[in-house]
Amino acid sequence: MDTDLVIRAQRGDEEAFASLAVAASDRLHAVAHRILRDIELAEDATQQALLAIWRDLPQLRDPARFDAWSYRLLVRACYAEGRRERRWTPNMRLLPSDEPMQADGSSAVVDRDQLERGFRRLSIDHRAVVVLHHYLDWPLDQVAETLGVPAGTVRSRLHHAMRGLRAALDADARPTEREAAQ
Amino acid sequence: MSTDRDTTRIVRSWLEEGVTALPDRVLDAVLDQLPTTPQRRITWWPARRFQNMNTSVKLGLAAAVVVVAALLGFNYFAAPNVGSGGLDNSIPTPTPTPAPTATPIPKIPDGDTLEAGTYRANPFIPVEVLVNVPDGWIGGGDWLLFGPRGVEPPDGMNIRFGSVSRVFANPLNAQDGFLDPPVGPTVDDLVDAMLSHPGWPTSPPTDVTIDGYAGKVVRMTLPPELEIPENGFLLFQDGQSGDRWAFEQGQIIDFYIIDVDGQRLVLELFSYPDTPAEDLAARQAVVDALQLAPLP
Repeated sequence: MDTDLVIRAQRGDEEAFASLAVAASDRLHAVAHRILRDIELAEDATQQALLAIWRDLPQLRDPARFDAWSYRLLVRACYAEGRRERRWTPNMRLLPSDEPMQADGSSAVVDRDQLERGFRRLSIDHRAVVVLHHYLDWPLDQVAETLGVPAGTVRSRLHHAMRGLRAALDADARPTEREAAQ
Repeated sequence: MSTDRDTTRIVRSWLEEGVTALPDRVLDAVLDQLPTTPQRRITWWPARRFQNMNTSVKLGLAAAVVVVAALLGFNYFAAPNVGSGGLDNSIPTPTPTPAPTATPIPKIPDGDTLEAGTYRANPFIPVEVLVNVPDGWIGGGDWLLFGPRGVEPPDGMNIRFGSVSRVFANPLNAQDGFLDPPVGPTVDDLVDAMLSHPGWPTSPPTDVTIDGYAGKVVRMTLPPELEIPENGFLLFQDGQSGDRWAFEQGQIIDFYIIDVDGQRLVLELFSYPDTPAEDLAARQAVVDALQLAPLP
């Protein structure tokens, strides 16, 4: 990340911001998609985050922290998109998978399906912690700083989220009633 | 059964899958909006200055602002507050604003850790709700506040602002629709509906008064063994048909149902058995200090 570009963009240089946006957009979008699990919502969140970055850039005190700061604004945008989605369309359900169930739970396809279901049950708060920690590989204190919550809260959310995902995987590993009866 | 290490490995592998590239049209849309999107400039009153000052300095600065405003001849305090219903809008807030006048009270922002101050909540009915928020709470949008630990178990809490238009007939299945006949408009109508609802594990109501307006408090505690479906434990629709629900076994929800000159304001306060007592006390202080007023 070029701090000169950040400084120029802070002063209102649109070309400098365009260069920053081009460099950052894919990584921001990748994180948004992993948090929201929906292409359109992720695009909207990324768009809103990039505009917020432009709008608030003059208030970034340390240009060297541009990357971490941009993720903070992205997660905020994901909260907004996720809450709008959840508040107004809470009855959305995932349809049962057409993939064949496998009793040993080792199928990657089944794992993905179960993880997707388990992940969608998590709140945006929990998803953000999982993605920042396990996708971006950030330490928990950095996640806490980015999200603006205490480190203990991040640990608690990560524990809760991983417990839920593990339960989703284990649920798949258990044989169905019909299989057990055979 | 998976081990923690297995789960972590599978989750990390799964997260590696998926899209990464942002379509050009989205980026183009952002860049097209730059000329019409003004940047927020740093002002002489730094954004976080208030947070780092001690109380006496804050009070002194707030007083100085009032004096400056008076000297400059602003009639802010003499003029009626538009839409405020007589509430005191002159409370200094931590909002970063350069103007040497009392600032408008901001809405509760979305996703921000808040600085202590007064914020405006949106209950989706014509009632003004001003909230004095302690430092470190989290905004979830103009209708929602989280405590400093968030709202998640085992120790989170929140306050949600709203009203109730329709109550779900079956909290575990949205397909069953809403209570029929619908709940009437008064506080007692809603309290009666909550207490008689076959699916609501509620306790007897208690009386309460907030900012001079009377109401009732009904507590619901979701059983620890309750199987909560994916959609959550469905409660009701708010004043704008947004659905409200609880989501966790053992969750405690205190419903404050207040009559504000004929408008039925409903607060939902979520917590858990492990939410610290000091957090609950802080939340109670927030509720007790709410400023309410009907809007035209």
